[in-house]
Amino acid sequence: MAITALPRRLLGLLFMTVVAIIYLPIVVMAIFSFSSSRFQTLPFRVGTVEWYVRVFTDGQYSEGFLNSILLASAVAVTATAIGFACAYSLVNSRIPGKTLITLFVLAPLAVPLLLVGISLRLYFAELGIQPSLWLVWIGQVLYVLPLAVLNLRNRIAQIPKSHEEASWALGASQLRAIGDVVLPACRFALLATFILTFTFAFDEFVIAYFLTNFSITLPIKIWTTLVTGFDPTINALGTIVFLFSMTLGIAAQALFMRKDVR
Amino acid sequence: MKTASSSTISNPWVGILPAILLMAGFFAMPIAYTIGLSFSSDANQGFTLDNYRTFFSEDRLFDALLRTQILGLSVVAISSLIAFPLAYYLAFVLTPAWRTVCLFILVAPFWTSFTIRAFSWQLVLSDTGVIASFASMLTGLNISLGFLYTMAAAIFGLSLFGVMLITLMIYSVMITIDRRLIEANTVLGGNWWSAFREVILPLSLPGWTIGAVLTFIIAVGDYAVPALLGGGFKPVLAQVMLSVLKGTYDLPIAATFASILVILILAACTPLLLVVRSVRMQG
Amino acid sequence: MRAKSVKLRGVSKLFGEFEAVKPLDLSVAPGEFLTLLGPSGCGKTTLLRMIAGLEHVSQGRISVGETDVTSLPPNRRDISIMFQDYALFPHKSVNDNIGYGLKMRGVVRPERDRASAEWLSRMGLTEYGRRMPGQLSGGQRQRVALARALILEPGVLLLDEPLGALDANLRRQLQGELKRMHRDIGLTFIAVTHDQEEALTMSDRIAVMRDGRIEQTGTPREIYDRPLTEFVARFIGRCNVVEGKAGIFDGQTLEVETASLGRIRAHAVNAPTMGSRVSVAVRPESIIPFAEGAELAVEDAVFAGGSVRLDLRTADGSRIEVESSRGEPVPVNGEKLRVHVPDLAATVLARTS
Repeated sequence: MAITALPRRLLGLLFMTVVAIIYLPIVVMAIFSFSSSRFQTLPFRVGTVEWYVRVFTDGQYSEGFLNSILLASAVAVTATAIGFACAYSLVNSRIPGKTLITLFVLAPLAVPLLLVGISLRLYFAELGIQPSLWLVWIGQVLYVLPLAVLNLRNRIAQIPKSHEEASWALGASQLRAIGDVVLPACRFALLATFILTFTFAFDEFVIAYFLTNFSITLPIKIWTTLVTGFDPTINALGTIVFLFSMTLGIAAQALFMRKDVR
Repeated sequence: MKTASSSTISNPWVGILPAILLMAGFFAMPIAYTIGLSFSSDANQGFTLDNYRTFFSEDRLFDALLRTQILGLSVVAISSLIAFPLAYYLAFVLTPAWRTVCLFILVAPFWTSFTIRAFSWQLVLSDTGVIASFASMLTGLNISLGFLYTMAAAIFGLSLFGVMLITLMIYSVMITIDRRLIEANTVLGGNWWSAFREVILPLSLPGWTIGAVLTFIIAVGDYAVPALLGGGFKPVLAQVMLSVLKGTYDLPIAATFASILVILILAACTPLLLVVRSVRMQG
Repeated sequence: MRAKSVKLRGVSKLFGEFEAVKPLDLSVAPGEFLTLLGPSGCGKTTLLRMIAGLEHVSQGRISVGETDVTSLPPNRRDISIMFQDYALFPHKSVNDNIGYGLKMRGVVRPERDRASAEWLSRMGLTEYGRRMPGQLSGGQRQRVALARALILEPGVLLLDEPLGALDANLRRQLQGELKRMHRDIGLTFIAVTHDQEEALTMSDRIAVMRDGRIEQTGTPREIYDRPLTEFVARFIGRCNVVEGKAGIFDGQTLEVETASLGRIRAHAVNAPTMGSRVSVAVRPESIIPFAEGAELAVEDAVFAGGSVRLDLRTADGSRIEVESSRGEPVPVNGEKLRVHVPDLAATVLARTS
C-alpha cells in the first residue's frame, strides 16, 4: 500500500496510545490489589494477597459470584436455545414478513438498556410482580437474544440445505435431521454464543439493579461497595472478574473465528 | 409425518414463536406500557400531558436532558475521530496476522462490565488517584486532578467504549473494500491521503453509521459511567430516572423520562440515517 | 433389487405466480435410465425434487410402482436421491454416512457396518470406512454418496446433476461408470443434467425440457436424429435449420423446396398443406460435400481435430455448417462447393410459436 512511513508510525503510535489508555486503569487496579495500603495512592507499600483472601472468604462476594454464575448460565442456555430455534426458522422458512420479524427480534439492540430495565420494572410493578432474580433472567435473555440470533443465523445460513434434505430422504424426521446435521455443523458457533451470552449476563448491571431489591448479583455487590464506602477488596475482586470475563470473551472470539471441519 | 418440502420446514412458526412471544410480552408491551404511563399522572387519570409539562418546566430536569444529549453527541464525535484512523490502521497498515492479534487486544478489556471499568478509572483519575499522586511525587507539589466527577470524565469514560465499538464497525466494512479501487487511485496519481478521503472514507460510512448510532444509544442510556465518573452534581437523564425510582417512586414521571429518552434517540438518529442514505444514493 | 416404474400425471409446480413446471405427464419404465435434460431454469430440477418428495406438488399425482406417493415423505417413497454436492455429512465417517439410512430404520450397528463394508468393496473403497469425507477425492465422495443411496435398496434412484461437480476428464470416466452401474444393478435411474453429451451417453431415454414443459421424449438416437422442434434440434449437438416450402408427402418423406439447399426429401410424420412453410433440421455430419447438389460458397474451413468443419454461405445468404471427414480434400475460402443432402437425412420440425 502506498503509504509513507511517517503516517504509518503515527498511526501505530495512536493505536498503542489508545491501547495503553484502555488497559491503564485495569493494570493499576491489579497492582493495587496487592497493595497493603488502604489508600489508593502511590507510593506502593508492601505486597500482600490479603485482599484476594478476603474475596474468597467474605461470604457476600462468594454468594454474589455464585448467584451471577447461576443466573448467567440460565440466561445463556435460554438465549442460545431460543436464539437457535429462531435463527434456524428464519433461515429456512419462506414465510412472508420475514424481514419484519427479524427486525422485531433484533429490536432490543436499538434501545438503551436503561429503558428496557425501567419499562420492565414499571410493567411488573403494574402486574403486581415483585422484583426477583427470575425477572432479571427474563430481562437479560431479552437483552442478549438479538446477539444470539445474529451470530447463529450467519452460521446456519452457511450450512448447505442438501445435507438436511439428504437426511430427510434417508428417513430422518425433521428434528432428527436438525440434531444430526445442523447442530454438529454449528457447534462452535453455539458454544461461542453460549459463552458470549454468559459473559454479557454475568457482567450485566442495569437490568439486575432495576429488577431486584437487594444486592444479589456480583456486579450489584461491587456497585454497592463502591457507593457505600471504599473497600480495597474491590481491587482484588475487580481484577478477578476482569480476568474471568476477558478469558471468556477471548474464547468466544476465537471460537467464532474457527472454521469447522469441511 | 407430512411431506417435507424443501426450504419450507413443516412449521417455521414453531421455532420463531418463543422469540416473538418473549419480545412481545417482555419488550414491546412493557415499553408501550411505559410510554402510555407517561401520559397519565396521579392527579389526572385520563390522557394528560402534565408530566411532559412538568419535565420541560423544571430546570433541573430539562438540564439533565440537555446534558444527556451533549454527552451522547460528544462521545460519538470523539470516538469517531479516533476510530477512523484506528480502523484504517487495522485494515490497511497491519498484516493479516497482526490484525487478529491487535483486534483481540483492542476488544478484550471490553468483555468485562462497565462497573468494573468505570471503577478502575476512578482509581486513576481521582484527586488522590494514581495520576495525581504520580504527578505530586514528580513535582513535589500537592496536585489535585479535578478531573473526576465532571462531565468531561463521563465523556472520556464512555468514549473509550465508543472508540472500540465504532472502530470495530468501521473496520469490518473497510476490510471488504476492494483493494483494486485503491490501486486505481494510485494509478491516477493520488497518494494515501487522497485514497483515504476519496475511496475509503465514503465506503466506510455504512459501518460508521451503525457504530455511531449504537454508541449514541448506549451513551445516552448509560447510568454507571456518568454516576461513577461524572458525579451526582450534574446528573444525566439516567441518573435522574434512577433517583426518582429509588426516591419519590412517581412512576408516571419516570415513564416520562423513558419516553423522552426514546424521542431523543429517534430525533438524533433518524436525521443521521436519512442523511447518510441520501449521500450514498448520490455517490 | 427390484426396480420400480415412475408415473407422473398432470404434475405441475407453482412458486407464487411463477409456473416452474407446467402440467405434464411422464412415464418411466422399471429399470430404465431416464435423463431430464434442459437449460437452467427449465424446471428439470424442480421436477426431480417433486418426484423425490422434497417439493410439494401443486397439481397432479406421482406414483412409484403401484403406489401413489404424492403425499408421502421422501423416505417412504421407495426412492433414494443423490445430490449434486453429494451432501455427505462432514462430521461423520464414511461408514456412518453410508449406514445412516439403515440407522434411521433401526438397524443395529453390527448389521450396518457389515452392509456398509459390502457396499464399500463394491465401490472399490474397501479400506475407506473410517475416513472422513473431507479426506476423499471428488470421485470417491461420489461413490460414497451412491453407496449411501443404494444401500437402502430403493426401487428408483434419483440423481441431481451427478457429474456436475467434476472436471471434464473425470466426468467422461464416471459417465461410463454410472452407465455400467446402472446395467449391473438394474434399478430405475432418473437423472437431471444440462450437459447433452452426458445425457446422450448414459441414458436409455431422454426427456428434453424447456420452460417447464417436456418438449420431446425419446431414445438418444431418436432425439438426435429426429428432433421434433427447433429447440430440441439446436440443444443437442450442432444443427442446421432451413426454411422451405412443403411439397408432396409419400407417407415417409416430404419433399421440401428450400432456397438454401435445393430440393430435400426430409423425414416427416404427417403432410402439411402443400406450399406451406416448413422448417427442416439437418445435422452437419449428414450433409455430403463434394457431391451433386446445391452450390454454396466456402467461408471458412476449420480443423476440428477428428473432422473439418466447413462454414458455408448459401445462395440466399444463410449459413450452413457441414462436417467433413478428414479424408476429404479441404476447400479454400471463397471456393464454390456442391453439397448433397441425402433422403431422410433431414427432419421436418414442428412449428412452435
